[in-house]
Amino acid sequence: MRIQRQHLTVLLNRLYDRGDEEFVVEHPSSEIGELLRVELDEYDGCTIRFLTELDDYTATRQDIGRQYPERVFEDLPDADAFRKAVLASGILEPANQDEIETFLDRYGDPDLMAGHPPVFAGFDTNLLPWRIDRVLGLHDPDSGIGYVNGFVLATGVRDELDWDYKCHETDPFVDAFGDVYQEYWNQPLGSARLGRLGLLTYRRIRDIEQAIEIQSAEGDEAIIDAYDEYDREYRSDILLFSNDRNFVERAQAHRMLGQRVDFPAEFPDTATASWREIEILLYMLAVVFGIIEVPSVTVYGVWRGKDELDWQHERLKLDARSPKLKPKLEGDLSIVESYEELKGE
Amino acid sequence: MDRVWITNGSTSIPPVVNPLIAACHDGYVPTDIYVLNNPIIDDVTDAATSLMKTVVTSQGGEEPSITVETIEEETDFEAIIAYLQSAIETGDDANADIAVDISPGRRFWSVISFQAGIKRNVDHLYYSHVETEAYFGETYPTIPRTAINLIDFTEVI
Repeated sequence: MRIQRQHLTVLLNRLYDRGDEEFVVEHPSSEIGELLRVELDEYDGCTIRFLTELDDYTATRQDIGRQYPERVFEDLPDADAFRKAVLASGILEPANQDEIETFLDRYGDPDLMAGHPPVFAGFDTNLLPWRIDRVLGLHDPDSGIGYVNGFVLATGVRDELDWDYKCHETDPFVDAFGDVYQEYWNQPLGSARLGRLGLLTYRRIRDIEQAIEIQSAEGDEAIIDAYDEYDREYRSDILLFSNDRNFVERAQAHRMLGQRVDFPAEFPDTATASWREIEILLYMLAVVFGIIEVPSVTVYGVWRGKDELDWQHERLKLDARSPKLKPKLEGDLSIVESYEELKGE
Repeated sequence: MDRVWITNGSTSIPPVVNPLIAACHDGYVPTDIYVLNNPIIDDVTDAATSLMKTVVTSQGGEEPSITVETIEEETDFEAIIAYLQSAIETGDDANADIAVDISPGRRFWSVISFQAGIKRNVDHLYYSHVETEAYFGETYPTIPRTAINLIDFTEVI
Protein backbone atom coordinates (compact mmCIF):
# COMPACT_ATOMS: atom_id res chain seq x y z
CA MET A 1 0.00 0.00 0.00
CA ARG A 2 1.17 3.53 -0.72
CA ILE A 3 1.20 6.21 1.93
CA GLN A 4 1.95 9.94 1.95
CA ARG A 5 4.71 11.16 4.22
CA GLN A 6 2.35 13.20 6.41
CA HIS A 7 0.14 10.14 6.97
CA LEU A 8 2.91 7.99 8.40
CA THR A 9 1.46 8.44 11.89
CA VAL A 10 -1.03 5.76 10.75
CA LEU A 11 1.88 3.32 10.81
CA LEU A 12 3.34 4.72 14.05
CA ASN A 13 -0.07 4.42 15.75
CA ARG A 14 -0.50 0.80 14.72
CA LEU A 15 3.00 -0.06 15.91
CA TYR A 16 2.19 1.69 19.19
CA ASP A 17 -1.06 -0.31 19.54
CA ARG A 18 0.71 -3.63 19.22
CA GLY A 19 3.24 -2.77 21.89
CA ASP A 20 6.02 -1.59 19.59
CA GLU A 21 6.14 1.88 21.11
CA GLU A 22 9.89 1.34 21.08
CA PHE A 23 11.16 0.08 17.76
CA VAL A 24 14.27 -0.17 15.66
CA VAL A 25 14.58 1.25 12.15
CA GLU A 26 16.77 -1.14 10.19
CA HIS A 27 18.34 -1.62 6.81
CA PRO A 28 17.15 -4.90 5.23
CA SER A 29 20.69 -6.30 5.12
CA SER A 30 21.98 -8.08 8.21
CA GLU A 31 25.42 -6.50 7.65
CA ILE A 32 24.07 -3.02 8.26
CA GLY A 33 21.01 -3.75 10.38
CA GLU A 34 20.06 -1.14 12.95
CA LEU A 35 20.09 2.50 11.87
CA LEU A 36 18.43 4.08 14.90
CA ARG A 37 15.75 3.52 17.55
CA VAL A 38 12.46 5.32 18.03
CA GLU A 39 10.60 5.55 21.34
CA LEU A 40 7.07 6.85 20.81
CA ASP A 41 5.69 8.99 23.60
CA GLU A 42 4.02 12.42 23.87
CA TYR A 43 3.18 14.03 20.51
CA ASP A 44 6.13 16.42 20.90
CA GLY A 45 8.34 14.39 23.22
CA CYS A 46 9.55 11.12 21.69
CA THR A 47 13.12 9.89 21.96
CA ILE A 48 15.43 8.87 19.13
CA ARG A 49 18.41 6.74 20.18
CA PHE A 50 21.54 6.47 18.08
CA LEU A 51 23.40 3.31 19.01
CA THR A 52 25.07 3.07 15.61
CA GLU A 53 28.31 5.07 15.50
CA LEU A 54 28.88 6.77 12.16
CA ASP A 55 32.47 5.44 12.09
CA ASP A 56 31.16 1.89 12.46
CA TYR A 57 28.61 2.54 9.74
CA THR A 58 31.37 3.79 7.45
CA ALA A 59 33.46 0.67 8.17
CA THR A 60 30.52 -1.63 7.47
CA ARG A 61 29.80 0.21 4.25
CA GLN A 62 33.45 -0.21 3.21
CA ASP A 63 33.17 -3.97 3.93
CA ILE A 64 30.12 -4.16 1.72
CA GLY A 65 32.08 -2.28 -0.95
CA ARG A 66 34.69 -5.05 -0.90
CA GLN A 67 32.13 -7.87 -1.08
CA TYR A 68 29.63 -6.64 -3.64
CA PRO A 69 29.60 -4.84 -7.00
CA GLU A 70 30.39 -1.14 -7.01
CA ARG A 71 26.85 -0.06 -7.83
CA VAL A 72 25.60 -1.72 -4.63
CA PHE A 73 28.23 0.16 -2.63
CA GLU A 74 27.42 3.43 -4.38
CA ASP A 75 23.71 3.02 -3.77
CA LEU A 76 24.27 2.77 -0.02
CA PRO A 77 24.36 6.30 1.39
CA ASP A 78 27.61 7.31 3.05
CA ALA A 79 27.65 8.42 6.68
CA ASP A 80 27.39 12.00 5.50
CA ALA A 81 24.06 11.41 3.74
CA PHE A 82 22.84 9.36 6.72
CA ARG A 83 23.34 12.22 9.21
CA LYS A 84 21.99 14.81 6.77
CA ALA A 85 18.83 12.73 6.36
CA VAL A 86 18.41 12.82 10.15
CA LEU A 87 19.11 16.56 10.27
CA ALA A 88 16.50 17.12 7.54
CA SER A 89 13.81 15.72 9.84
CA GLY A 90 14.41 18.62 12.21
CA ILE A 91 15.62 16.39 15.04
CA LEU A 92 19.20 17.66 14.91
CA GLU A 93 20.55 21.15 14.43
CA PRO A 94 23.39 22.25 12.15
CA ALA A 95 26.75 22.11 13.95
CA ASN A 96 27.10 25.90 13.70
CA GLN A 97 23.51 26.68 14.65
CA ASP A 98 24.52 29.58 16.93
CA GLU A 99 26.54 31.21 14.16
CA ILE A 100 23.64 30.80 11.71
CA GLU A 101 21.23 32.35 14.19
CA THR A 102 23.53 35.30 14.76
CA PHE A 103 23.77 35.76 10.98
CA LEU A 104 19.97 35.56 10.56
CA ASP A 105 19.30 37.89 13.51
CA ARG A 106 21.66 40.40 11.99
CA TYR A 107 20.61 40.26 8.34
CA GLY A 108 17.15 38.68 8.36
CA ASP A 109 13.74 40.02 9.29
CA PRO A 110 14.11 43.49 7.67
CA ASP A 111 11.84 46.35 8.71
CA LEU A 112 10.14 46.94 5.36
CA MET A 113 7.99 49.74 6.79
CA ALA A 114 11.18 51.61 7.65
CA GLY A 115 12.30 51.31 4.04
CA HIS A 116 14.76 48.46 4.44
CA PRO A 117 15.13 46.32 1.32
CA PRO A 118 13.48 42.88 1.38
CA VAL A 119 15.68 39.89 2.16
CA PHE A 120 15.69 36.78 0.00
CA ALA A 121 17.40 33.46 0.65
CA GLY A 122 19.24 31.45 -2.00
CA PHE A 123 20.84 28.03 -1.75
CA ASP A 124 23.73 26.08 -3.11
CA THR A 125 22.92 22.67 -4.61
CA ASN A 126 24.41 20.71 -1.71
CA LEU A 127 21.81 21.94 0.80
CA LEU A 128 18.60 21.47 -1.16
CA PRO A 129 17.99 17.74 -0.58
CA TRP A 130 17.82 18.38 3.16
CA ARG A 131 14.70 20.55 3.58
CA ILE A 132 17.07 23.29 4.55
CA ASP A 133 14.59 26.18 4.39
CA ARG A 134 12.51 24.39 7.01
CA VAL A 135 15.44 23.25 9.14
CA LEU A 136 16.72 26.84 9.35
CA GLY A 137 13.19 28.16 9.90
CA LEU A 138 13.70 30.77 7.19
CA HIS A 139 10.09 31.29 6.28
CA ASP A 140 6.77 29.80 7.29
CA PRO A 141 4.50 29.65 4.25
CA ASP A 142 1.37 29.41 6.43
CA SER A 143 1.98 32.44 8.61
CA GLY A 144 4.07 34.30 6.03
CA ILE A 145 6.64 35.21 8.68
CA GLY A 146 10.24 34.27 9.24
CA TYR A 147 13.72 35.61 8.68
CA VAL A 148 13.34 36.18 4.95
CA ASN A 149 10.70 37.71 2.70
CA GLY A 150 11.09 35.10 0.02
CA PHE A 151 13.52 33.03 -2.01
CA VAL A 152 15.58 33.36 -5.15
CA LEU A 153 16.37 30.12 -6.95
CA ALA A 154 19.01 29.78 -9.65
CA THR A 155 18.12 27.35 -12.42
CA GLY A 156 21.74 26.16 -12.41
CA VAL A 157 21.06 24.63 -9.00
CA ARG A 158 18.02 22.84 -10.36
CA ASP A 159 20.00 21.46 -13.30
CA GLU A 160 22.75 20.24 -10.99
CA LEU A 161 20.15 18.15 -9.12
CA ASP A 162 18.79 16.43 -12.19
CA TRP A 163 20.63 13.13 -12.49
CA ASP A 164 19.07 10.34 -14.44
CA TYR A 165 20.80 7.37 -12.93
CA LYS A 166 18.49 4.39 -12.81
CA CYS A 167 18.63 0.75 -11.83
CA HIS A 168 18.49 -1.42 -14.94
CA GLU A 169 19.49 -4.65 -13.25
CA THR A 170 18.27 -5.67 -9.83
CA ASP A 171 20.27 -8.92 -9.53
CA PRO A 172 23.33 -7.42 -7.80
CA PHE A 173 21.10 -5.82 -5.17
CA VAL A 174 19.01 -8.96 -4.66
CA ASP A 175 22.21 -11.03 -4.36
CA ALA A 176 23.63 -8.60 -1.82
CA PHE A 177 20.64 -7.72 0.36
CA GLY A 178 17.66 -9.94 -0.52
CA ASP A 179 14.52 -10.29 -2.61
CA VAL A 180 12.94 -6.99 -1.58
CA TYR A 181 15.47 -5.31 -3.89
CA GLN A 182 13.59 -6.59 -6.93
CA GLU A 183 11.54 -3.43 -6.29
CA TYR A 184 14.56 -1.36 -7.36
CA TRP A 185 13.76 -2.00 -11.01
CA ASN A 186 13.94 1.19 -13.09
CA GLN A 187 14.19 3.40 -10.00
CA PRO A 188 16.85 6.05 -9.28
CA LEU A 189 19.92 4.81 -7.44
CA GLY A 190 21.94 6.37 -4.64
CA SER A 191 22.93 9.93 -5.40
CA ALA A 192 20.11 10.22 -7.96
CA ARG A 193 17.62 9.74 -5.11
CA LEU A 194 19.28 12.56 -3.16
CA GLY A 195 19.03 14.69 -6.28
CA ARG A 196 15.33 13.93 -6.48
CA LEU A 197 14.90 15.07 -2.88
CA GLY A 198 16.66 18.31 -3.78
CA LEU A 199 14.44 18.83 -6.83
CA LEU A 200 11.37 18.35 -4.67
CA THR A 201 12.55 21.06 -2.29
CA TYR A 202 13.38 23.31 -5.24
CA ARG A 203 9.92 22.85 -6.76
CA ARG A 204 8.13 23.22 -3.44
CA ILE A 205 9.87 26.53 -2.75
CA ARG A 206 9.33 27.72 -6.31
CA ASP A 207 5.67 26.71 -6.63
CA ILE A 208 4.24 27.02 -3.15
CA GLU A 209 6.38 29.67 -1.59
CA GLN A 210 6.46 31.83 -4.71
CA ALA A 211 10.15 32.18 -5.15
CA ILE A 212 11.76 34.14 -7.94
CA GLU A 213 13.58 31.89 -10.39
CA ILE A 214 16.66 33.32 -12.09
CA GLN A 215 18.39 31.81 -15.11
CA SER A 216 21.91 30.51 -14.69
CA ALA A 217 24.25 27.86 -16.01
CA GLU A 218 25.58 25.11 -13.74
CA GLY A 219 28.64 25.55 -11.55
CA ASP A 220 29.36 27.76 -8.52
CA GLU A 221 30.68 30.71 -10.50
CA ALA A 222 27.69 30.86 -12.87
CA ILE A 223 25.23 30.44 -10.01
CA ILE A 224 26.85 33.15 -7.91
CA ASP A 225 27.05 35.48 -10.94
CA ALA A 226 23.33 35.07 -11.48
CA TYR A 227 22.58 35.88 -7.85
CA ASP A 228 24.94 38.85 -7.99
CA GLU A 229 23.23 40.20 -11.10
CA TYR A 230 19.82 39.89 -9.46
CA ASP A 231 21.17 41.52 -6.31
CA ARG A 232 22.43 44.53 -8.25
CA GLU A 233 19.40 44.85 -10.50
CA TYR A 234 16.79 44.80 -7.74
CA ARG A 235 16.96 46.56 -4.45
CA SER A 236 17.11 43.55 -2.18
CA ASP A 237 19.50 41.61 0.00
CA ILE A 238 20.30 38.00 -0.80
CA LEU A 239 21.47 35.58 1.87
CA LEU A 240 23.26 32.67 0.24
CA PHE A 241 23.55 29.38 2.10
CA SER A 242 25.90 26.55 1.28
CA ASN A 243 27.61 23.60 2.91
CA ASP A 244 30.70 24.44 0.89
CA ARG A 245 33.21 26.94 2.29
CA ASN A 246 34.41 27.92 -1.20
CA PHE A 247 30.90 28.77 -2.34
CA VAL A 248 30.39 31.01 0.70
CA GLU A 249 33.75 32.73 0.14
CA ARG A 250 32.94 33.32 -3.51
CA ALA A 251 29.58 34.82 -2.57
CA GLN A 252 31.33 37.11 -0.08
CA ALA A 253 33.89 38.07 -2.73
CA HIS A 254 30.89 39.29 -4.75
CA ARG A 255 29.91 41.33 -1.71
CA MET A 256 26.89 39.13 -1.06
CA LEU A 257 25.96 37.75 2.34
CA GLY A 258 27.02 34.13 2.48
CA GLN A 259 26.58 31.70 5.36
CA ARG A 260 27.94 28.20 5.67
CA VAL A 261 25.65 25.51 7.06
CA ASP A 262 27.76 22.94 8.79
CA PHE A 263 26.40 19.47 9.47
CA PRO A 264 26.99 17.74 12.81
CA ALA A 265 29.99 15.40 12.69
CA GLU A 266 28.46 12.77 14.96
CA PHE A 267 25.08 11.66 16.16
CA PRO A 268 24.26 12.51 19.76
CA ASP A 269 23.32 9.55 22.00
CA THR A 270 19.69 10.64 21.99
CA ALA A 271 17.52 13.35 20.48
CA THR A 272 13.97 14.50 21.18
CA ALA A 273 11.45 14.34 18.36
CA SER A 274 7.79 15.04 17.71
CA TRP A 275 5.63 12.50 15.87
CA ARG A 276 5.69 14.90 12.89
CA GLU A 277 9.48 14.84 12.87
CA ILE A 278 9.48 11.05 13.07
CA GLU A 279 7.27 10.99 9.96
CA ILE A 280 9.86 13.09 8.12
CA LEU A 281 12.67 10.96 9.56
CA LEU A 282 11.13 7.71 8.27
CA TYR A 283 10.45 9.31 4.90
CA MET A 284 14.00 10.64 4.56
CA LEU A 285 15.61 7.37 5.67
CA ALA A 286 13.40 5.34 3.32
CA VAL A 287 14.31 7.48 0.31
CA VAL A 288 18.01 7.88 1.18
CA PHE A 289 18.53 4.18 1.95
CA GLY A 290 16.00 3.04 -0.69
CA ILE A 291 14.36 0.45 1.57
CA ILE A 292 14.12 0.28 5.38
CA GLU A 293 12.37 -1.93 7.88
CA VAL A 294 10.40 -1.31 11.05
CA PRO A 295 8.76 -4.17 13.03
CA SER A 296 6.61 -6.27 10.66
CA VAL A 297 6.65 -3.63 7.93
CA THR A 298 9.04 -3.03 5.04
CA VAL A 299 9.07 0.62 4.00
CA TYR A 300 10.04 1.35 0.39
CA GLY A 301 11.42 4.77 -0.50
CA VAL A 302 11.47 3.58 -4.10
CA TRP A 303 9.63 0.68 -5.66
CA ARG A 304 8.93 -0.76 -9.07
CA GLY A 305 6.53 1.69 -10.71
CA LYS A 306 7.07 4.66 -8.39
CA ASP A 307 6.13 7.62 -10.58
CA GLU A 308 6.36 11.42 -10.69
CA LEU A 309 3.19 11.89 -8.67
CA ASP A 310 4.45 9.51 -5.99
CA TRP A 311 7.56 11.66 -5.69
CA GLN A 312 5.61 14.89 -5.69
CA HIS A 313 3.22 13.69 -2.98
CA GLU A 314 6.12 12.28 -0.96
CA ARG A 315 4.68 8.78 -1.04
CA LEU A 316 6.28 5.64 0.31
CA LYS A 317 5.17 2.06 -0.17
CA LEU A 318 4.44 -0.09 2.88
CA ASP A 319 4.53 -3.86 2.81
CA ALA A 320 3.02 -5.21 6.02
CA ARG A 321 4.55 -8.63 6.62
CA SER A 322 2.05 -9.34 9.42
CA PRO A 323 -1.39 -10.57 8.29
CA LYS A 324 -2.91 -8.98 11.40
CA LEU A 325 -1.39 -5.57 10.84
CA LYS A 326 -2.11 -5.31 7.12
CA PRO A 327 -5.93 -4.92 7.24
CA LYS A 328 -5.62 -2.45 10.11
CA LEU A 329 -3.27 -0.22 8.14
CA GLU A 330 -5.45 -0.53 5.04
CA GLY A 331 -8.59 0.32 7.02
CA ASP A 332 -6.97 3.39 8.59
CA LEU A 333 -5.65 4.58 5.25
CA SER A 334 -9.07 4.20 3.64
CA ILE A 335 -10.48 6.56 6.30
CA VAL A 336 -7.67 9.07 5.86
CA GLU A 337 -7.91 9.03 2.07
CA SER A 338 -11.72 9.26 2.02
CA TYR A 339 -11.46 12.25 4.34
CA GLU A 340 -8.92 13.94 2.04
CA GLU A 341 -11.28 13.45 -0.90
CA LEU A 342 -14.26 14.86 1.00
CA LYS A 343 -12.19 17.81 2.19
CA GLY A 344 -11.03 18.54 -1.34
CA GLU A 345 -14.58 18.86 -2.69
CA MET B 1 -26.55 -7.18 19.25
CA ASP B 2 -27.31 -3.73 17.85
CA ARG B 3 -25.06 -0.86 18.83
CA VAL B 4 -26.43 2.65 18.56
CA TRP B 5 -24.28 5.78 18.14
CA ILE B 6 -25.96 9.11 18.87
CA THR B 7 -24.09 12.26 17.96
CA ASN B 8 -24.28 15.83 16.67
CA GLY B 9 -23.20 17.53 13.48
CA SER B 10 -20.51 20.21 13.48
CA THR B 11 -18.90 22.87 11.30
CA SER B 12 -16.07 20.50 10.37
CA ILE B 13 -15.80 16.78 9.78
CA PRO B 14 -13.13 15.54 12.26
CA PRO B 15 -14.96 16.34 15.53
CA VAL B 16 -17.93 14.30 14.24
CA VAL B 17 -16.03 11.25 13.00
CA ASN B 18 -12.99 11.12 15.31
CA PRO B 19 -14.87 9.90 18.42
CA LEU B 20 -16.55 7.27 16.23
CA ILE B 21 -13.22 6.07 14.81
CA ALA B 22 -11.79 5.96 18.34
CA ALA B 23 -14.78 3.97 19.59
CA CYS B 24 -14.51 1.51 16.68
CA HIS B 25 -10.81 1.22 17.46
CA ASP B 26 -11.75 0.28 21.04
CA GLY B 27 -14.23 -2.33 19.77
CA TYR B 28 -17.50 -0.40 19.80
CA VAL B 29 -18.58 -0.67 16.15
CA PRO B 30 -22.11 0.76 15.75
CA THR B 31 -24.95 -0.69 13.67
CA ASP B 32 -27.15 2.42 13.82
CA ILE B 33 -26.08 6.05 13.85
CA TYR B 34 -28.11 9.18 14.65
CA VAL B 35 -26.88 12.66 13.80
CA LEU B 36 -28.37 16.01 14.80
CA ASN B 37 -28.14 18.54 11.97
CA ASN B 38 -29.26 22.05 11.04
CA PRO B 39 -29.40 23.70 7.60
CA ILE B 40 -26.22 25.74 8.14
CA ILE B 41 -24.04 22.64 8.53
CA ASP B 42 -25.81 20.48 5.91
CA ASP B 43 -22.76 20.04 3.68
CA VAL B 44 -20.49 19.02 6.52
CA THR B 45 -23.10 16.58 7.82
CA ASP B 46 -23.38 15.01 4.36
CA ALA B 47 -19.61 14.56 4.17
CA ALA B 48 -19.36 13.35 7.78
CA THR B 49 -22.10 10.73 7.39
CA SER B 50 -20.50 9.50 4.18
CA LEU B 51 -17.18 9.13 6.01
CA MET B 52 -18.93 7.39 8.93
CA LYS B 53 -19.89 4.55 6.58
CA THR B 54 -16.27 4.21 5.46
CA VAL B 55 -15.17 4.24 9.11
CA VAL B 56 -17.51 1.48 10.25
CA THR B 57 -16.93 -0.79 7.26
CA SER B 58 -13.16 -0.26 7.33
CA GLN B 59 -13.13 -1.31 10.98
CA GLY B 60 -14.89 -4.56 10.21
CA GLY B 61 -18.56 -3.58 10.66
CA GLU B 62 -21.54 -3.82 8.30
CA GLU B 63 -22.58 -0.54 6.69
CA PRO B 64 -24.54 1.23 9.46
CA SER B 65 -27.98 2.71 9.03
CA ILE B 66 -27.67 6.47 9.46
CA THR B 67 -30.52 8.77 10.47
CA VAL B 68 -30.04 12.52 10.19
CA GLU B 69 -32.42 14.69 12.20
CA THR B 70 -32.46 18.25 10.91
CA ILE B 71 -33.79 21.05 13.10
CA GLU B 72 -34.47 24.41 11.48
CA GLU B 73 -33.37 26.50 14.46
CA GLU B 74 -30.26 25.39 16.30
CA THR B 75 -31.71 26.79 19.54
CA ASP B 76 -34.92 24.75 19.27
CA PHE B 77 -34.29 23.04 22.61
CA GLU B 78 -37.47 21.00 22.54
CA ALA B 79 -36.50 19.55 19.16
CA ILE B 80 -33.02 18.71 20.47
CA ILE B 81 -34.48 16.93 23.49
CA ALA B 82 -37.02 15.13 21.28
CA TYR B 83 -34.18 13.99 18.97
CA LEU B 84 -32.26 12.45 21.86
CA GLN B 85 -35.29 10.85 23.45
CA SER B 86 -36.42 9.30 20.23
CA ALA B 87 -32.95 7.96 19.33
CA ILE B 88 -32.40 6.51 22.82
CA GLU B 89 -35.88 4.99 22.93
CA THR B 90 -35.45 3.35 19.55
CA GLY B 91 -32.21 1.84 20.85
CA ASP B 92 -33.86 0.70 24.08
CA ASP B 93 -36.73 -0.92 22.15
CA ALA B 94 -34.21 -2.91 20.12
CA ASN B 95 -32.40 -3.85 23.33
CA ALA B 96 -29.27 -2.29 21.84
CA ASP B 97 -26.11 -0.98 23.45
CA ILE B 98 -26.33 2.80 23.31
CA ALA B 99 -23.49 5.32 23.09
CA VAL B 100 -24.04 9.07 23.21
CA ASP B 101 -21.16 11.18 21.88
CA ILE B 102 -20.98 14.71 23.25
CA SER B 103 -17.78 15.77 21.46
CA PRO B 104 -19.06 17.63 18.36
CA GLY B 105 -21.55 20.40 17.75
CA ARG B 106 -22.84 23.38 19.64
CA ARG B 107 -21.97 23.35 23.31
CA PHE B 108 -25.61 23.40 24.40
CA TRP B 109 -26.28 20.41 22.13
CA SER B 110 -23.55 18.58 24.03
CA VAL B 111 -24.91 19.65 27.40
CA ILE B 112 -28.39 18.42 26.53
CA SER B 113 -26.92 15.18 25.11
CA PHE B 114 -24.93 14.67 28.29
CA GLN B 115 -27.93 15.14 30.49
CA ALA B 116 -30.06 12.81 28.36
CA GLY B 117 -27.34 10.18 28.42
CA ILE B 118 -27.03 10.29 32.22
CA LYS B 119 -30.78 10.35 32.77
CA ARG B 120 -31.45 7.43 30.43
CA ASN B 121 -28.53 5.48 31.77
CA VAL B 122 -26.89 4.81 28.37
CA ASP B 123 -24.04 2.30 28.08
CA HIS B 124 -21.43 4.81 26.94
CA LEU B 125 -21.18 8.55 27.19
CA TYR B 126 -18.23 9.50 25.05
CA TYR B 127 -16.07 12.58 24.78
CA SER B 128 -13.01 12.69 22.58
CA HIS B 129 -10.27 14.69 24.29
CA VAL B 130 -7.49 15.97 22.03
CA GLU B 131 -4.37 17.14 23.84
CA THR B 132 -3.12 19.66 21.33
CA GLU B 133 -4.31 21.87 18.49
CA ALA B 134 -1.30 20.71 16.48
CA TYR B 135 -3.49 18.06 14.85
CA PHE B 136 -6.51 20.27 14.24
CA GLY B 137 -8.39 19.21 11.10
CA GLU B 138 -6.98 15.68 11.06
CA THR B 139 -8.67 12.35 11.52
CA TYR B 140 -8.00 9.87 14.31
CA PRO B 141 -5.61 7.57 12.39
CA THR B 142 -3.14 10.43 11.77
CA ILE B 143 -3.31 11.88 15.28
CA PRO B 144 -0.67 10.39 17.63
CA ARG B 145 -2.33 7.82 19.83
CA THR B 146 -0.86 9.52 22.87
CA ALA B 147 -2.46 12.86 21.94
CA ILE B 148 -6.12 11.75 21.76
CA ASN B 149 -8.14 10.05 24.44
CA LEU B 150 -11.70 8.75 24.20
CA ILE B 151 -13.24 9.35 27.62
CA ASP B 152 -16.31 7.33 28.59
CA PHE B 153 -18.10 9.38 31.24
CA THR B 154 -20.14 6.37 32.34
CA GLU B 155 -16.87 5.04 33.73
CA VAL B 156 -15.39 8.18 35.27
CA ILE B 157 -18.29 9.91 37.01
